Amino acid sequence: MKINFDNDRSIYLQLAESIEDDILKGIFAEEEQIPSTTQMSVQYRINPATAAKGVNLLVDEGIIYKKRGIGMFVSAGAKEKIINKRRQQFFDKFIISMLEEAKKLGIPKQELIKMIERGQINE
Amino acid sequence: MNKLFNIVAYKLKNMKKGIFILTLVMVLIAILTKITEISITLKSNTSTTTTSIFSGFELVAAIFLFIGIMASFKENFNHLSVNGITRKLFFKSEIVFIAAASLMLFILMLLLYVFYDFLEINTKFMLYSIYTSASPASFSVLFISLLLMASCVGLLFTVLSYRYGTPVILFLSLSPVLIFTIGPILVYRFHLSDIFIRFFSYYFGYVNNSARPLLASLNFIITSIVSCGISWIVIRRMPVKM
Amino acid sequence: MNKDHIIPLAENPSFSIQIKNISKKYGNVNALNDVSISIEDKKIYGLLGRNGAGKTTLLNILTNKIYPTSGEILINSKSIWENQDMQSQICYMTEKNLYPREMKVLDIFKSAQITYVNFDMDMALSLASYFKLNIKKKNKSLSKGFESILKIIVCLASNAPVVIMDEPVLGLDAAVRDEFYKMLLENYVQNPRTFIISTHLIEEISSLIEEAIILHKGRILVKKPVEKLLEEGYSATGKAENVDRYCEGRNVIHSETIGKFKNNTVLEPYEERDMEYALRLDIEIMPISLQKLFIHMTGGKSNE
Repeated sequence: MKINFDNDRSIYLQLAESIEDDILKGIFAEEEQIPSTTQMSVQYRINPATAAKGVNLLVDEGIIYKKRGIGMFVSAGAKEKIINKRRQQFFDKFIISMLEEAKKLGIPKQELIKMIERGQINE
Repeated sequence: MNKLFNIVAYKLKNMKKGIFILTLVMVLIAILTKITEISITLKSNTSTTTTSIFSGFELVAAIFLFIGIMASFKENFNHLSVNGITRKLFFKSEIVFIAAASLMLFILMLLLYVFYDFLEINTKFMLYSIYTSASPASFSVLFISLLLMASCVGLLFTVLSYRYGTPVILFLSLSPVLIFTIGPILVYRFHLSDIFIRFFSYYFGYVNNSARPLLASLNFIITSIVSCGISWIVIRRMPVKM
Repeated sequence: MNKDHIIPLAENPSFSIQIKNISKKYGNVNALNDVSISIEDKKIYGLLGRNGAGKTTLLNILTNKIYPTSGEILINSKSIWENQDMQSQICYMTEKNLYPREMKVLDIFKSAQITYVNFDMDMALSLASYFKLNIKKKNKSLSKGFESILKIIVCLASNAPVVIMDEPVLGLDAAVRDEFYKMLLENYVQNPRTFIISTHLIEEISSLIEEAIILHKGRILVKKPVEKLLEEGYSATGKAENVDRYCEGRNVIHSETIGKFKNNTVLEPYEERDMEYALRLDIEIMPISLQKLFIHMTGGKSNE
């Protein structure tokens, strides 16, 4: 988990995202333990309270859970939860702005769909 | 009180080097004097008694303490303050340190006297030649109180220069010059000679044509206490030179 | 780094600090003007400010090295002035090197044990070896970087409940600075205590500190958790007329014009509807770093 934190964005959000990324990539499997907040705090040179905030965000979303006295674990179904969350974010971030841009350029819906298909063929 | 003990031990430890050099120098002087004496005696073929007399023990010790206390104050105060020692505790430790150091120097001078005597160098204590009727006990009290006074006055001078800076240092270093040039003029003009002579005689215990060691000791101790008192007033809320 | 040898504080008392109406005048100059803040226990604080803002003066007063013109400082409702019990709980890393010149590093460590009863000599020695500080070297022969390392080690090994550091990373190269931040956090997670760190390197320190205290011209400009502070501002970039329209009625603390484009720094939290409005005006909303926020809060319009 080598991360370079941006000073332009909330660090706890960046930490939460990077843990999610590792879960998606399979670095942390479901029911596997992740490093403690104190370990992450030292490793990434961030304040423990910030690390805790990032982890608590994931706990609130049901992606991570705490086992008292032992540590933090990846929840069952975490991968799916993350994918769903990211899909909504994908929609908000890319789809909406794509539609705005398309409107600006006067591209109709049919042509947009053709463009997507063209892009997928070129993969 | 553990802290107090540790701080005094720390200050005494810092003084070790100076004491070592002092002892070394005194011993070397003794040895050189002895060698000189022997070579003169050999050369002149007569058993001449040398006229050299070493009587500087008291002065050497007093000057050592006076300068030592002055020189070590700034570093000690800065160091201990940075380490969170309050001025109150620092001052207490300085008093205990002065007492301990004076006692140590007294014993050291006695030992050196014995050493000089052992080498058969003509030697004596200056205080004895002034206070001829002094018993060993009053001599000791006198010697120690002299050392205490030298230390306390040194403390006062250094504390004043630390707090008030260059003007004070200038004043203090020029004061002997001022005293010895302007002093006599004032004394002459205002016919102060009589008062001065009487005051200083009394201060050094000279009363009714006899030199009283205990009276002098008392005056030295009063001077020490007054110096310390003024020093405390200066140190009480003294800013650390950051 | 094992923590078996750290003696826990008796009954775990709190060391929150109340700084009340501290003012410091030098002749006609107000170095500090009615500074009142509350420092909570066991947090890492960053004390930030421009040169001459009064940071070192405040820290010197906080550690009883100099006296204020007025005001008081309390820990557990007791004044800290000349209070040896309290002074023994505070370890201060000064910007200058006030240790005796002829003293060896090891002896400086030993002397710290006089005040700091929980001083961890093992930790001090292992930190010294880690940072390659020769404990047999005399203080006067240390480079600026090693002077800082010496002072840092004394603070970390002191185990004092309150640690105050004035410009701790002076003279340290980037790699060593990173190591220091790591050591600091390790020390903090093992033994949570109050840290107050004053520094110019805002970018580097911003992720380590929990709360930022910004001092400007002798006054407290802001004291807030960094998270909250960052939520309080953003930059709006786009075509000048659009940006102006968007920023109508908003608290703009900085503005930059590059040709037809403008970049405004707004000191307000942004909300959902702001995002939509900005999108419509084709303005890009970006968060700003603590350093940029600091620069804009202490310069330009605020520089009155």
